[in-house]
Amino acid sequence: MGVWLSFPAGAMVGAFVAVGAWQLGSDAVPAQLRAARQFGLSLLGALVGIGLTREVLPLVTQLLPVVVASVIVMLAIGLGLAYVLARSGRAGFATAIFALAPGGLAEMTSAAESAGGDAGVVAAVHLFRIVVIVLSVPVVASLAGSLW
Amino acid sequence: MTWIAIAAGTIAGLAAARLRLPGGPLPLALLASGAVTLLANEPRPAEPPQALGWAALALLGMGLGAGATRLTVQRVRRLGLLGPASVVVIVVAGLLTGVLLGRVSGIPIATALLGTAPGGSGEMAAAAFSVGASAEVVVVMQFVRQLLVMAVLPVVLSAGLAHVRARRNRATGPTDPVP
Repeated sequence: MGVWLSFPAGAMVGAFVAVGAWQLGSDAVPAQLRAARQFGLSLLGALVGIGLTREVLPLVTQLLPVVVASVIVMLAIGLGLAYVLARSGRAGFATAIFALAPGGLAEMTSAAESAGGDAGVVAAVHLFRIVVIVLSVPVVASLAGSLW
Repeated sequence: MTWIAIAAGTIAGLAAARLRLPGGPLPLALLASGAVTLLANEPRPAEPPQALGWAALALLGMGLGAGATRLTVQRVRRLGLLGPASVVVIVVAGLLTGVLLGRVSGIPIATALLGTAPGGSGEMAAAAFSVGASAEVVVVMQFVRQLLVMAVLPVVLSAGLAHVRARRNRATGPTDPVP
């Protein structure tokens, strides 16, 4: 349906909306859906890898310094916000840092757990962020791509 | 050769998931499939069927939707308005960084936006794949972000915790040394 509506990343957004709406009435995450995600990531990686031609490799190396600089900016913003959240008393220091750091969901959740943070809150905030991004950024990228 | 590359990438990705490698299945799947493509040295590899891409995207969407449980909503709510507001600030900052990166480096704006957006690497690669941006560049940018955050965060955390403890000690007077 997402593809049929020509929504950017429609297959992903459509499947997310349908399964997410169903899951909002539940507390458990079915193991089959976790496995589906792993398979989807593997298949996507394989499909993307086909585009890894000799022309792309120098571009990646050339981009590395600016990418690192942009990550440092994002990290600083995340840490600043985490400081404010921790000061507000709504979350502990470790929980706030790992919840608002721009890292991967699985990595940040397990790191928060080992640092004594609330892994549940960290996972929830990361999931919320990814959902906001999945619903907004493809639209913005698609619009920006056609405008610029 | 395209089908061999897809098979090699998918198997490598599933192995990475099984071994719980950092970064998940995506980077290894991309490397394996990319290695096969580069070794084949075909000037223009055959395009895989579009339905295969849709299937990968739909599976990712299902996996993401699976996490949106009642408990997730309750946990975000516990942070009050500050939690969601912080997320929105991070998303906007990611978009602005993407625009800036696009301007500075000259890469297409859609690729820059999806590369700097702090979403999941899989989800952003999927979006890039779908909107015609350079998905392989997006994956590398997302992977660099995750690696850097993983490297920097433990240092920041221990420095921050030491600062909090020192302030607490100053406020309450000399107490037992912190283990």
